[in-house]
Amino acid sequence: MTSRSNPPSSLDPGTLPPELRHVEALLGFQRRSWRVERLGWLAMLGLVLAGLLGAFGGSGWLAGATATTPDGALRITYDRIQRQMLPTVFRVEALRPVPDGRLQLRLGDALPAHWRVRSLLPHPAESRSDAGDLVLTLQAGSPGPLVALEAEPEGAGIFRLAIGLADGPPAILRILVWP
Amino acid sequence: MESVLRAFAIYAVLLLLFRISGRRTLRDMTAFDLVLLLIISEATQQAMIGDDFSFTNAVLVITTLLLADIGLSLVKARSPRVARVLEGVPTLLVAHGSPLPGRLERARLDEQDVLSAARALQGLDRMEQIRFAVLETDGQISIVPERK
Repeated sequence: MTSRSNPPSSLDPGTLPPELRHVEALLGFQRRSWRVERLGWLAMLGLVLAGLLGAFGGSGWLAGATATTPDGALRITYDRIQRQMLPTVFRVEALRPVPDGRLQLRLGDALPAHWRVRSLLPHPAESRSDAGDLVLTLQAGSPGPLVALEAEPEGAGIFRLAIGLADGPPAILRILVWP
Repeated sequence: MESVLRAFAIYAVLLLLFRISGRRTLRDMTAFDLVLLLIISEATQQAMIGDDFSFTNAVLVITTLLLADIGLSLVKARSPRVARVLEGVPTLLVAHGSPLPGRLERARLDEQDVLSAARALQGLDRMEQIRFAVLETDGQISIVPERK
C-alpha cells in the first residue's frame, strides 16, 4: 500500500536533518540536469533518425549518390557518406558504346591514397599508375555496367574523388567518411 | 596513435551517453539489462580495436581507458562542480512518508521502486514507515526509516 494523500508540491528544508538539507540545496542543479537529460534524449533520437536516413553512411536514403561525367560517358553510383574501414562499392557504368571495345578508366589519386581496394570486377586487361592516378584498361563492348570496385576508406574526412575516362573530363565525387 | 585516440573517444562518448541516459539506466541489472550491457560492450570493443587484434593494441587500449578513468577521478576529486556535472547529485524522493511525485517522475521512478528498495534494505512495506528516501548518484535508492 502506498500513501498518496496530499503529496507535497514543495518541501520545507527546515523539516529536514542537516545532511538532507544539503541534498535539498542541490535540487536546483538536479532540475537543470533533468532538463539537460531530456535534451540529450532528443539528441539521441535525432542521432538514431539521422542514422536511419543514412547520414552516417552504411546505406540509407542520404548515403547513396550518382554522378555522371560532364561528357556523359560514365555514370558512377557510390556512397557519398561512408564510414572508415567499412567496405563500399563504386559502380561505374558506360553510357555509350566504346568504338574499339577498349575503354580506359582513370581513377583519381585520392582513391589509391585514401581507400584500400578490396576487389575490382571485372579484372582489367591492364592497370597502370599515371601521375598518382590509377588507369585501368577494360573490355567494354556495349553500354551498361562496367566496373564494380569494392574499397574501404582508410581514414576519416571529406574527400574529392575524380573518376572518368582517361581522355575525358572526370566526375568529381565528394565523399564524407565518418571515423 | 589511433588506438589511443579511439579509446579516449569511446570513453568520452560512453560517459556522455550514460550521463544523459540517467543514473537508473542499467541499474537494476535484470536479465535484459545484462544482455544489453554485453551488446554495448561488444559494439564498443569493435569500434575501439578495429581489425587490430594484437597484444600491443590491447595493452594500449586498456591502459588508455584506465588512465582516462584515473584522470577523471582526479579531476572530480579536485573540482566538486565537475563531479556534480559528471555524476549528478543525490535527490530526495520521499520526505516524512510522503512521496514527492514530480521528482519521482523526472527520475523515471515510481512509488513501487521506492517501496521495493525499502523492503530490500530495511524490511519496510509501507510508505508511512519511510522517513526519507534518497536517489543516490550511483542510482541506488537509500532509505531512512521513520523513528518508532
